[in-house]
Amino acid sequence: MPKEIINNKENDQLKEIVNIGAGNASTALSTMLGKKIQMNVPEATVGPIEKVQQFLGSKDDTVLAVFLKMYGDANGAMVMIFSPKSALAFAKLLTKKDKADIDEFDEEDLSAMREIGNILLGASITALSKFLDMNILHTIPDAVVDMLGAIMDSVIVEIGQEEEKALSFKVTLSIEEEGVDGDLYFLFDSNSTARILSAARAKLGNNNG
Amino acid sequence: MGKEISVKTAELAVGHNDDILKTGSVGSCVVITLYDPKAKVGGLAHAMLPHNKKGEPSTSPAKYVSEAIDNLVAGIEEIGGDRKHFVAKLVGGATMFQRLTENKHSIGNMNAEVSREHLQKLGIRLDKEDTGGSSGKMVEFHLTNGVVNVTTKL
Repeated sequence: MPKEIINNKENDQLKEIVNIGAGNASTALSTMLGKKIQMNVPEATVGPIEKVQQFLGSKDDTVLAVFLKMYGDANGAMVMIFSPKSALAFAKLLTKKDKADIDEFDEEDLSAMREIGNILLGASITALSKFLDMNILHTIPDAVVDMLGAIMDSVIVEIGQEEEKALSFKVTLSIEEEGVDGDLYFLFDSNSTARILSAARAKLGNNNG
Repeated sequence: MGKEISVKTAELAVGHNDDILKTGSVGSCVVITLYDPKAKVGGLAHAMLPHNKKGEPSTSPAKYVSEAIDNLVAGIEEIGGDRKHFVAKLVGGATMFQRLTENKHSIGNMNAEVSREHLQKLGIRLDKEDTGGSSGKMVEFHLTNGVVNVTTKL
């Protein structure tokens, strides 16, 4: 990085780091809901931003997204994507109100989703900062309901403005008994990826590769 | 029968007669359509960013607005269009995360602004636009008549 594609060893190290971040998000969610959360193995892609955008998703399905930007020692973004069914279930846990469709979401529901995002994404970033000994800051989250492709193209340009290449990870968190889940995406620009790798090497040492 | 071509982010396509050029949902990206009503040819570019800040060679033909428009003009002229007759339309350039970015400084807004400036520089008339706001849009460009259909899901 940034010129060449990362190698397998670096990819494994980055996955380890994403596991730490997402693991903390998962624990935070589990504590908040009092339910067991499943987390899959992260999928990763790295390349020109327009290719990363295709990895993120380009469907026209309506979803709910919670988004925030990272800055400080690492520039990037985090996004959680909920299907309408999952967004309704999550919002209800906080608002205690039944809504038939996310089209009916009002400011209270969006505020509840921003709060969920703040807890989940905030927990991830804090864990990453601590583990890597880096100072990663983040903006307040925003929550929007719109088509997945339109949301992701807006997410990727936030990174692409300064950088040609980006690294993205996807982790799915699910509550199996409820049949609801959310996709958690980590995005870093190429310079930040290099910084994270070097911090990871210092932490993980040679034992881990 | 005309073709239906789906244009991905940072790409462009040209066509004629009863072809239809379309995009998936577009957020802060901007879609530029150019149409030559005399020759019934035209094209659509799905551009991502206002400027190539680093100046590195582009990895895709329509990543940056000005390059996208230049490549689109050249592509349509190759299949028989004449830029003197071109009519432009703009769609997209939304600001989806309004709590995080001020409208006037958003990338979506800059994408639309740079598109207008570059069209003007090339002397291409901007006929209509549906830009800004906070919603994603899908675009369908019909080359029989130059009509652009815009779909939102509110």
